Amino acid sequence: MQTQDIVIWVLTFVAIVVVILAFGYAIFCLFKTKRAHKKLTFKQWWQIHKPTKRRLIQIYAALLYNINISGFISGRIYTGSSKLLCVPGLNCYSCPGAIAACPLGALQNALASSNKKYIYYVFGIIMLYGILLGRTICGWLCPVGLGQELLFSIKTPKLKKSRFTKVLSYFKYVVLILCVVAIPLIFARGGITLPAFCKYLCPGGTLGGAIFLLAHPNNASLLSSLGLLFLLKFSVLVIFCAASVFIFRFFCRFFCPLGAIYGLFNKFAPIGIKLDKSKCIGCNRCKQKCKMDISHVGDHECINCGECVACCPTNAIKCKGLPAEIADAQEQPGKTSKKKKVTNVIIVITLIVILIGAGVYYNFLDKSYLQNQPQKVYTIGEVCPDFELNLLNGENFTLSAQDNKVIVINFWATWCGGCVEELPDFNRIASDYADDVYVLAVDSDETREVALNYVTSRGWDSWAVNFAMDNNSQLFKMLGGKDSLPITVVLDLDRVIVKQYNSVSYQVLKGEIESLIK
Amino acid sequence: MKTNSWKIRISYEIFMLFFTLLLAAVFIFDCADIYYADYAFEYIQQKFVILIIPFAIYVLCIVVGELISRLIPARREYSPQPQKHFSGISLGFIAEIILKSICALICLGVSIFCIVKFATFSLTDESANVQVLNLLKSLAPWIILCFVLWLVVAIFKFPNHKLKTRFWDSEKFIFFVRIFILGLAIVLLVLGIINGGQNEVLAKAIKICRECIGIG
Repeated sequence: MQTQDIVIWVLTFVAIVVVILAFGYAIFCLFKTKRAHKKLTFKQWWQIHKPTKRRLIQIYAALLYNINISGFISGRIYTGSSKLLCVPGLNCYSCPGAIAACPLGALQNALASSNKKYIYYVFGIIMLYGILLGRTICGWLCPVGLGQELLFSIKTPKLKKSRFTKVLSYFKYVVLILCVVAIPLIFARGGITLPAFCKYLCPGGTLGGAIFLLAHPNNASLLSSLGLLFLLKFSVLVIFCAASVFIFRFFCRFFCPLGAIYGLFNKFAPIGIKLDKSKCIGCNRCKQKCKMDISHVGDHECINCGECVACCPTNAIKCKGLPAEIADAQEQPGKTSKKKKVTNVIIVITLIVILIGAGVYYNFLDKSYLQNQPQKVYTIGEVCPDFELNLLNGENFTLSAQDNKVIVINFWATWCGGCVEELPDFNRIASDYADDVYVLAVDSDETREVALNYVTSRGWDSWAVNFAMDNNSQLFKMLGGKDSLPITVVLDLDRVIVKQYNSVSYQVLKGEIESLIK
Repeated sequence: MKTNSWKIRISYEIFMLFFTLLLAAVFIFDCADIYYADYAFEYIQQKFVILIIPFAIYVLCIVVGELISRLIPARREYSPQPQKHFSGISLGFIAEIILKSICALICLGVSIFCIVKFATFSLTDESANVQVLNLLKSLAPWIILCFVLWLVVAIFKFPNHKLKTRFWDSEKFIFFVRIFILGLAIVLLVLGIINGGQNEVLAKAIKICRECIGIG
């Protein structure tokens, strides 16, 4: 293991320990009690420290989004069909436990895609969540928001909101326009997929995706891919976590583009918090109580947490979208409490059944990851069996027909920015060592038409690299490919698999080929 | 109390929203063109000249709209129904109502035209960026026409600011916007499912691009 690998391994381990300790201490702070002159009974202690309904719903949502526990155990992401849906909150699709896609990642990929009609589905989902729930999603259904609130509960001096934070709260719209919309659109014109927010900023992706994947021994090969980009993202994550201890919802208030989008719908969503202006006396207690940068209750900054409801002296703040019985009970607590209790019990039982059902299904019953599995997976040191592929130029490629040549097989996809950026290096290798090396760029993820259009539009059809298609990713899985791209496999003159790379540079590949040719 | 001029104000704001979005889209695409032309000076000049005209019109729309609202105050409040006394109805009053109704209809017509044109464009198989730019350029004159008409009619009357606030907060407005956005979301979802957008989401969610999540 190289020094760089050790350093990054240690950094990752330290980061995970720090994050776990921080969350653990935050949870401990939630339950810590100042001992009075007499000991509290359990019932009294529980009354003081029981989690609120909102906290329970946040934890429930975080669990449900990441219910694929077997993914954490195996180090593999979920690949089933429920990933065609998006969760309402920020939850990275690359988290091993994630059972659905992230709306922000899907939006960026849609904007960067060459298929313009892809965007309708993503727009429709985001608009549907926005108009139904608004920023209630931020306050109740987002795992990143939950994490920040737990960090904020650590007992430290806190930075209060001010005019400066109010102005800074508009920065998330800049992040939205720049990183989520403009940069993917602009780079898409050059044929490169660049989800700038996911790549450079998103803490959910770093923690839920990168760190959880890297922490698993099965993904040790990913460590060699780590470089400046990971250091940057890791630093950003640490900054967000540290700042969240002192500043309430630091990421949500100033950086989250999803909150920016949902905030636009907040006024019109049927579920949330609203102010009855006929009862409001303008005392501003709600604004003082609120830790977000609101101008008034229910505006685009309001996350509908409901903490202001109790502090209003005239009961002018109400929850929108409540059934009449619950709305009545808010004003007359004693009335219909029995009915409310029964309703609550039914709702809780239903939610628990859904959670348990999802847990059982995703961890024990769903075998979608076993679909199209090859009979054998070949690793380094084994002879690669003969295979045949269709090239984009209409010819066929057969491994056994390539004599006395080193074979370099690069698996890529048009939507993978990293893959597209390194393909020119493979073309240089193919040109420089045309007599000794056969370079194959295999697209195992898309249709022939998509790959051919892409290659032709970029003028790559005149390259020395040979572009091929892999049906159902059979070759990709056979040569040890799992969940990520790009992957490069090198076969020596005897068809033995000698190397498997994640991302690879021209110099490294050149060195390997020259050693094989000799 | 709602007035016709207050409705026209809303038409103006909807128009400005469309204009802003279109201009932003043209600007982004032109920036991208410049980027991929390696910042060639002649190309930048050409793009600048093309962009400066709609941008100047845009700024003019904002400035003129604000000036009018400050310099020309509301002359009288209109009741939702005209007075029933025969002698109380003047020809000028009737003309104003008719003119404003025509303007509102034209604004609505232009909005529908833009939506239909975009939908027609979207359902075709051609998806070149040039197509998008041509679409934007073909819509721009209609939007400018719509604005000019509004400007002419708005000279007669400009709404009270308090009325505007009441309108934005009214239950009816919120309800209609909610229904409109919900309908639009469902339409987009259905269109997306017909076009296979969900398969694209799935394809990208089950295979990680390592650089895209910061492993690199």
